[in-house]
Amino acid sequence: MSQDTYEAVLHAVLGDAGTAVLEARPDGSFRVVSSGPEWFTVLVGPTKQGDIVDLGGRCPPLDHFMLVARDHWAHGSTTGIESSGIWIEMVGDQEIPLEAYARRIEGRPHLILSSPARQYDEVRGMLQHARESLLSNGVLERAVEERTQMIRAREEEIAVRLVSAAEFRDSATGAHIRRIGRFTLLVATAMRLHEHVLDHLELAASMHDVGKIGIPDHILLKPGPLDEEERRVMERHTVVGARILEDSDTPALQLGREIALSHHERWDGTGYPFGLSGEQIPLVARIVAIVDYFDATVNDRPYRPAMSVEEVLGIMRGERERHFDPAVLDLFLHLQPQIAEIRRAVDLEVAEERALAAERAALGGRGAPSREDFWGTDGFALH
Amino acid sequence: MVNTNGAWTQAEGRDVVSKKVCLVGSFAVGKTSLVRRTIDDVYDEGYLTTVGVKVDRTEVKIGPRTVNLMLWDLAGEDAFAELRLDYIRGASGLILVADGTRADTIDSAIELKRKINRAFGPLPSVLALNKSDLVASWSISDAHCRILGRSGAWSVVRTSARTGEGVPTLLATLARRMVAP
Repeated sequence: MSQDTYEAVLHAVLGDAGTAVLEARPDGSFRVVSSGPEWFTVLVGPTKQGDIVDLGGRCPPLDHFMLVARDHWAHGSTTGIESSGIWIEMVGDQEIPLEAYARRIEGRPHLILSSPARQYDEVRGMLQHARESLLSNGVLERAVEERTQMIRAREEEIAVRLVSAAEFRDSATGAHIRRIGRFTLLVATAMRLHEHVLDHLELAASMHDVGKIGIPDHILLKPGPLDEEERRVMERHTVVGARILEDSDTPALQLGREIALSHHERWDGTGYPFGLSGEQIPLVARIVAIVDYFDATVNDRPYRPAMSVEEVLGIMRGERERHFDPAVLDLFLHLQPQIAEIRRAVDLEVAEERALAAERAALGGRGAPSREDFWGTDGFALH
Repeated sequence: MVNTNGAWTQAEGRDVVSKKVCLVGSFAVGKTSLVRRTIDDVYDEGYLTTVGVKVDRTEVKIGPRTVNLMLWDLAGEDAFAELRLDYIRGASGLILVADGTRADTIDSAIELKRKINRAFGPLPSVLALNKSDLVASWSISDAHCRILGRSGAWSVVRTSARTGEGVPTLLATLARRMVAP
């Protein structure tokens, strides 16, 4: 078959197939081999076989592809082919997907332009379906998550108010309650307790002394040492706390009950209310026993001044295997840098909350800064 | 061939320069909608996924100068389709788009920025936190936004393709970053 006949057949076949074929010339222009598709006429103007055209500046993605194409024509294999990937051109008000291929035909550089409309529609349809499913699943997941968080926030609010009621009658401070929760979570996380426990532990630990609400004022608030009968009544706060928290379906309250009941048990069996020893004592209660002792003694109380951290840790080391679980105590001692960090963070939070409360009072209860305060009015984040 | 990264030229008494800008981000964050809002000032409800790339042009005036932006709207990346990095070659700037209601799309934008940095070096970039009209449903906190804004890797602009909020600011911010000496 002669070259002219070959190109004439190619022209007819490719034109019917919606494909334009051009041969690249050394000066950067192209010789039209087949220009059948209507979109090619719209993009380049009317052409016929053998015309010389300049494609530059018409389609940015095609210009972009030319660098790859020229490299391929110069250095690529004779059978290889490079593709531009699909781009969209507007022809009138219609979106036309186009794709360019560079390959050598009979050793000469050729550019093949096609509109893979059917494949494009198929791929787009599949992706559309898959992505819509992902979006729907995401919306559902977020809705479930929001509901879960809402339920948990309600549970937490109830628990915090419960703790606050006990705290209101005791000398313990909100900061103490907050630190106990975080210290406990820190130690438990380091021990790799189950995620389900960790999720609720901070709140549960903060409820350890909730039973003090059931202790008469003359004992709870007595400035001096308690006599034997008073101590016996005081020790009841563990059982009272457990009674308050029992029979709940809420995981945080169930865990809180365990802690409230057992956080005064001692490793050597001399604690209360049941004189449990060693691993008979729930692990979470063994952790709270340590962090509660530490925090209570390194902070001021109305009836005694704070002791230094070094002094308290020295006493606690002496209580290893007596009052405290040795393994948990060792870990607690190892975590002192993080414990110090939590103490600083809680101090800062409390100071910020006090400042915010004072600001609110000064503003007549306007409340916390809004999103607009943060973003400003021009849409920029503050840098 | 159009020079997208050329030097300043003069047109009608103004200094003019052209820049190629790529929009990248996860799927369904609103890249195409932001372009539609920019070019045609319209918004289509509903999501229509993009396949491949579509290029549109707009201009931003910065004082006496004009920056012609060639906006390359690239298909969103997800488990089904990876960003074709080759499209980024020759770009002068990036618009990374994330959906404020989907926190994972910010992670995707950060990862795309890293990927593009590795391939082409750092490019002037703006992060569009899109869908500000749904801010009540946003899953990212103000603290998170604050951290993103302070990273120095990009400017952060809150946008809504639906209302047009922040869209001119987005383009002006990137244009300024691209032509800054």
